[in-house]
Amino acid sequence: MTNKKADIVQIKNPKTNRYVKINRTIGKIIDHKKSEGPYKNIPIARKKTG
Amino acid sequence: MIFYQPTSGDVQTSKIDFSPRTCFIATQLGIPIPEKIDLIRKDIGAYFEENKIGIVDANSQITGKDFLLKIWKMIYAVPLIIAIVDKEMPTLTQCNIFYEIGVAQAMGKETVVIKTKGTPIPSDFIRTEYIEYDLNFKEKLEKYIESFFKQAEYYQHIADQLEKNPLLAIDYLRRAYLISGNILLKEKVKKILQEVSIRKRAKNSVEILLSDF
Repeated sequence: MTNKKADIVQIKNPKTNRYVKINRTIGKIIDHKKSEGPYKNIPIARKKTG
Repeated sequence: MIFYQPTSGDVQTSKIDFSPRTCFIATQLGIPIPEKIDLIRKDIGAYFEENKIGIVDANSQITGKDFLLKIWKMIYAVPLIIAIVDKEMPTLTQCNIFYEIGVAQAMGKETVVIKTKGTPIPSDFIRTEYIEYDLNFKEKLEKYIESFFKQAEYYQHIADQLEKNPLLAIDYLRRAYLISGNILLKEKVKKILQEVSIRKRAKNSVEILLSDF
């Protein structure tokens, strides 16, 4: 069985000023950070151009 | 997303035309209107006109049908709901205003309460952002509208991460479109629909209604 690593990124919600964690592999918001600053070791998603 | 009509409990299965870059004002409309409410509305009107944001309220449409359903549909159609409250307003009017804010939040709309000094806010709305009407009102309103438009960018950014969840991505794009009025977002939705092959669904299916904006 293959154990593919999930594609997880984070984005800051300007309304709450907190980061949300998104699992792109399953298309789901998986967590909302309770404190300020980004999650450790999770890349911040870049904005797509165009 | 699925929306339930408050009057029948049935799901909304016909299209409601959206009004992007438009604000629904929830406030007292019947006379005598407290003086400060008039002043607040004038300030909002001037600032929104400059920034090309439309304004509607419950008196903007006359349908001859159910009043609550009319308001529900007007809230559904816009991205932003502003409640204006003053302690001089009748209690029942204030109850209606906060009900409308609750409906709007349940629909995923942006909401803000504008209150005059000394006007209490129900505890359920403590986390709802509010602006107090004072000498710095215009500045605070400007800052709020700045953050309102930033929220559209966030919704679009989130949608871009949700390729594997097309309905959710479309819903975020719909909300981004309502705030910004950016018609390019409609193209993005068309592209998603092509990829997931749901174009042959019934015209009033949840998927097609969601993406038809």
